Amino acid sequence: MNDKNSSELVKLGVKTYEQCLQIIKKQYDSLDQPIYESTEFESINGLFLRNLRMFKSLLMAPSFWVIDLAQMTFRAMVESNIYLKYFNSNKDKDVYLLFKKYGIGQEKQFKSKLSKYIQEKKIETDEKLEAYVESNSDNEIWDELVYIDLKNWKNIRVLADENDMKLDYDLYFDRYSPVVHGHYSALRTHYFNRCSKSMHRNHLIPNWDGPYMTLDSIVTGVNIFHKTYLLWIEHWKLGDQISDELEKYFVEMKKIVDTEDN
Amino acid sequence: MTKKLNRVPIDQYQRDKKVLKPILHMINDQVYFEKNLLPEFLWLAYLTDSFGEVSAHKKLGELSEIIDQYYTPDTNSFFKGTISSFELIPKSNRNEFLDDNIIVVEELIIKPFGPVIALYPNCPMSWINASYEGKPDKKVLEALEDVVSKLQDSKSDYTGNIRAMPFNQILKHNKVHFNSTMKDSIKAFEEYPYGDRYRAQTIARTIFNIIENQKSPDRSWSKHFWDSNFKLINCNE
Repeated sequence: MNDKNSSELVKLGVKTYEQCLQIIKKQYDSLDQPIYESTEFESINGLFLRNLRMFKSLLMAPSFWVIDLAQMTFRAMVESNIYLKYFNSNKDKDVYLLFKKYGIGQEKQFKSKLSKYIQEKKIETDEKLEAYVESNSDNEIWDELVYIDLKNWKNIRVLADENDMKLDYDLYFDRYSPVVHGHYSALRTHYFNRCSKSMHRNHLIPNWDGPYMTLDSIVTGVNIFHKTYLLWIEHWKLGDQISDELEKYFVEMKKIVDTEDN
Repeated sequence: MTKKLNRVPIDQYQRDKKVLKPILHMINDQVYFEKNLLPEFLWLAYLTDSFGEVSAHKKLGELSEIIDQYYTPDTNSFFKGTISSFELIPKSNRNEFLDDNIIVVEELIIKPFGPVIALYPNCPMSWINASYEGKPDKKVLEALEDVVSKLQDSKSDYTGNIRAMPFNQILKHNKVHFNSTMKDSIKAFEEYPYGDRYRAQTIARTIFNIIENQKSPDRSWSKHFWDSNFKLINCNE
């Protein structure tokens, strides 16, 4: 990938994102927004918006096309997709409240830790930080009644298994865990090159330029977001209005790449 | 038709609580040939490259006969042609060994391998190389790199032959006996370097590894060799 087709791809990404965003906003506005009981609405749309934000970066920001960062993003997106699939197949409405309370518990846990560190003078503090620590983590559910669950909310592997998402889990979530956690295989793949000297046992030397950009990063990311969109519209029983836009994007992308190749 | 791959599919692994055991879980230790053994076989590689396969085996045998007179073999230590095994001759006997055998030493060690020994101050063969006066140059390093590259393919016919060279000493020192029913194996050794080379090399290599692992081997030469190379040549030069 060179500078010329990178900048063409960015322009195409901006255009595609803007078009998709207009469509998605209209579809969102068409939904019946509950005010009384909003947890399901917030959870489903929150997961969708999370992946939409990553979709935006993958379309428009070349730094996200670099393979290691792209892989971290894919893992995050697929995790949201697995939750979305789980929610779509789960008829129990309480599941959203449990999801919300788990999240509140996490924030409560962090604030409690901060409180400890502040009181032990292990971190510097100011008014803003202390206001944050003292604040309630939700405008409705009182922190003091929320349990802090120390384990993961759900076993994502089991969730994937039970919701026909095992392939997504294996190909993206599990596969890219080493990149997220900085485990050895990812370190070797992304941050080193092989010395060509047999006298050096072909040892690893730093890849100072860093991992490379790849078109596959964009293609994979867009496809993962497409799945997110399909899960979102399934939940809200909306029509598919952006699959064609994404198809157009791939056609235009190929033209840009082929032009450069010629 | 589904392609048959060598990689074992995940559902065929044996599970032990939270761990999937490797297929070869009964093997305790891997032999790290490149890291630990390749440096040991360098002199044998140079001997082979200088004299040809058949001649090198013969000359190793002749030299071994001589060297065996200058030390006392014990249960696991005997001269095998590896670089570290040259240290078996105690310091007290070395001058006598050199004085008595300078022509052979010159022909088999100093001439083909002296420049390489000179590159590594802590080489176990340094005491033999005292009379070498040359200064190793770029060509010596290039030649050494070629040999190392060839040896990196640990199971090639070239490397297999070199790894099989200590086998005569293993037999001579009664470290292994073959049951007379093992006809194919015996025939492979009798006909070597002709006949079933792969069988002979594989058995020789395996027995060598078993003997090596019976004691805690001293890897200081291998470590010195590899670590020194980083100072001798630059990466991707």
